[in-house]
Amino acid sequence: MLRTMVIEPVRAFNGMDVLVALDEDLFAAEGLEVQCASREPGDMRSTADGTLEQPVSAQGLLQKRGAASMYQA
Amino acid sequence: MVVCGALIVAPHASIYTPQDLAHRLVALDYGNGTAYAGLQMLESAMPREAVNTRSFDANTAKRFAALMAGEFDATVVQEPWITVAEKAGCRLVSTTFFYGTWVANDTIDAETYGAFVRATTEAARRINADKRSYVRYFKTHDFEPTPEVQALSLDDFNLSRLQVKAPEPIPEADARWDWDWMSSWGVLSGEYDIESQINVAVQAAAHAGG
Repeated sequence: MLRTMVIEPVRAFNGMDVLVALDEDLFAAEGLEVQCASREPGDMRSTADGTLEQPVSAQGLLQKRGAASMYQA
Repeated sequence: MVVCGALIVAPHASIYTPQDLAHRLVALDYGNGTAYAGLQMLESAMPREAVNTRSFDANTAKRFAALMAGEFDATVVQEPWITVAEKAGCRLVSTTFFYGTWVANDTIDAETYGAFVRATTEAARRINADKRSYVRYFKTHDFEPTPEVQALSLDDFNLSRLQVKAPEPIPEADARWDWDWMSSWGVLSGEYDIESQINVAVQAAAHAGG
């Protein structure tokens, strides 16, 4: 059975292993379809607007909205 | 994935060590791992009251440009911007490594996460077997294409800064330490509760399925 997982987008510095697994069909070999959720305009809020105690980050935003089931912190 | 973060200063700054950054302004992208890595590099070198930071954009290209424009004394960047900074003559006054941690909601079961773990474990093996080839991902998967990054060649990258490790269960003691450390900076509050942070049963089953 093919399982599907939607994750928040990653970049090479924090998710090269995921990107390689996608490009080289390693998820598919495990019966897993991994999709990267798309961000909407306004999702990339600037961390410059936050404080140390109350940070503003896009991390986890898509999961919170139900558009992704995993993100990397 | 293991992330490398480097505390960098502009080429002509009279700053050579982390200690030299006491009471100097350091820009961090609060809320992201890079910012906390920056705080740890700073607090290891000076009293907390000497740590002086401000929030800045998570886009590393913007932090690098602002550093070069003199908006602050230092910032923390990841690859490919560590390599960009070195090529531009910036000084790395400290580097550190930290884990990225996957945060899943309760729709992810052990079988699904186990498949994810096995696939990324194989990816980690392949990357470690041929790091020089895979650093191309730093050029193709950054915030957005920039001339600085596109000008890099694969030989420009220091491979010791690319560290990839197969996923493992989160050690409870590490998670507790992280919670307590972040609480000490006011980022989190309350007592650490492993049951609200780690689904031990799913984690154990996923990692046992190899």
